[in-house]
Amino acid sequence: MAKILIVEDEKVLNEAYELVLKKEGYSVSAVFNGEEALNSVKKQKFDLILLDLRMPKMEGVEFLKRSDPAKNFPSTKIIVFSNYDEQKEVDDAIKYGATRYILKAWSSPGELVKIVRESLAEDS
Amino acid sequence: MGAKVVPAKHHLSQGAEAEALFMSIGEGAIVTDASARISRINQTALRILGFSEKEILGRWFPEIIVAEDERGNRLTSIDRPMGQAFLSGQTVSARTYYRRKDGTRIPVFLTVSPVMLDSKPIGAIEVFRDISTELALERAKDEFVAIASHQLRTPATAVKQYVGLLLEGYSDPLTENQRLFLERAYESNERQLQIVQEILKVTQLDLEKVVLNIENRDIRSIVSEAVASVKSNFDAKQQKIIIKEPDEPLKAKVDPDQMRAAIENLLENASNYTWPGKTITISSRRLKDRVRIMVKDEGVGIDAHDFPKLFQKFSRIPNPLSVEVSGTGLGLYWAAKIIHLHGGYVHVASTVGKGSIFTINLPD
Repeated sequence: MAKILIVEDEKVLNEAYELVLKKEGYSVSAVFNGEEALNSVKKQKFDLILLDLRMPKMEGVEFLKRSDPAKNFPSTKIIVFSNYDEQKEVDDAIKYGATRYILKAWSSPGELVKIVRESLAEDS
Repeated sequence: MGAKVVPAKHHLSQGAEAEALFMSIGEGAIVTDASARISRINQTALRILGFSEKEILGRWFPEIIVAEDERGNRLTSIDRPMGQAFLSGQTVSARTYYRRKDGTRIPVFLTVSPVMLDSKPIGAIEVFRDISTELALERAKDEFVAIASHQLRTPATAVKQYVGLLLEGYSDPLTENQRLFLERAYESNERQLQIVQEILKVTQLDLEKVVLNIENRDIRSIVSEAVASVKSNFDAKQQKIIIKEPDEPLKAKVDPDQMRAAIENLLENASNYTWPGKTITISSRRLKDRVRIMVKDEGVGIDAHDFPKLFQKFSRIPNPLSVEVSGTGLGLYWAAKIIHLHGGYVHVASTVGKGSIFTINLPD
C-alpha cells in the first residue's frame, strides 16, 4: 500500500484529500504546514507527498529546501498542489525537488486520484 | 505746471508674454525645430528631467532625452512619439519612459504635435507629465486584486472538492434531482474559478511577473496546436476553420505556450462572435521583417468607434452575440499584452455585419 503525506493548511481541503485517498486504499498521513512535514519525513519514508505552497510556519518551497528530497528521499514523488501559480514559485518548487505542479483549483477529487496514480506509476 | 502724470503701465511684448505663459505651464513642455533640436523648454520639464536650460537648449532631442519602451529598450528617433508625429503630421499621445540626467528612468505620458506653418512642419511641441505616482497606484491596485483573487480561490476550491466528492461517488448514492442540482453547482463553481483564474493571469502580467521562455519555433505548429485546442468551440457551432500556411517552416522567436494561448484567445473570440455555420480562417506568413498571423471571421464585426475599447481591461462591447457569450472582458487585453511582450503588436480591421480580422505581427 503506497504511503502518502498530505501537507495542506486549509483544514477542509486537507480533510477532503485524506478522505478520497484513504477510500482509494492509500495509507495517508496529513499535516498542516512545512514544519510538521519536515518532522514527518524524518520519521518515515513516503511514496508520495502532496504539497501545498503557501502555509503558515513553513511554506512549501522552504520545506523542499530544508528536506532536500534529491538527497534524502529521491524516490518519493512530490506533487505540488497549490493555488498559487506564479511562475517564480513554480520554478522554485521544481528546482528544489517537486516532480509535478498542479493547480488545485482545476482538480476534482477524481482528477486528484488520477494524478496520484500516474505519479506513483512513473518509473515503477 | 508740472508734467502730466501718466499711470505706470507694463508694456509686455507679445513674445515675453508668450514666454511667461510657456514657462508657467504646469506640465513639462519642450519645443523643437524641424530637425528635433530643442529650442525651448519650460521649468517643469527641466525639473522632471533634471537638466538645466543651458545643458539642453540646442541639443538634439532624441540624443539628450533618451526614450525607452517599458522593457527598457531604447526607442529610435523614428520610433519615439515625436518621430511618429513628424512622420504622420498628426498629434501623437503615448506612454513612454525617459532617462533623466542622473540616469534614472521615469514613466511619462506625453502628447506631441507637429507645429505647422503654411502646411510645412517647422518643429514640434511636446507636453508631458511624470506618471510615476499613477503607475504606483495602478500597481497597488493590481496587487490588491491579485491578493483578493487568491483569497477567493481557496474557498471556491473547497466547494469544488466537496461537490466533487458527492458527484464522484465518495459519499452515499444520489437521487436524480440531487445529482442534477449538484452538477449545476459544480458548473457555477467551475465558472467562478475560471473568472478568478483569468483575473490572476492578467494581474500577473500587469505586475510583470510573467517571464517569457523564448524559443525559435515554427509558428505553423503553434497555430495547429491552438486550432486543435479550440476545435470543440467550432464544432459546437458547426463552424468551419481553414488554416492557410506556407509550405516551408515559419520560424519566430516566441514563448510557445504563451503564444499558443494568445492565438487560442483570438480563435475563441472569432468563434464566439461569429454565427453558427460560418467560417473562420487563420493564416500565417512571413513578411519582409516580421511574421504575420491573421484570424479572419465572418462574425458580427466591430464598429470603428469601439476599436480603442477592444484591448482594454474588462471591456465588453455590446453586439448581437454578446449576450450569448459569458466573457470577463479580459481575454483580448491579455492576448494583446502577451504579444506586446514578444515585441509584437495586434491590430484589428472590421466591418459591422461582415466580420473582423485580427492581425498579430511578430518581429522576425
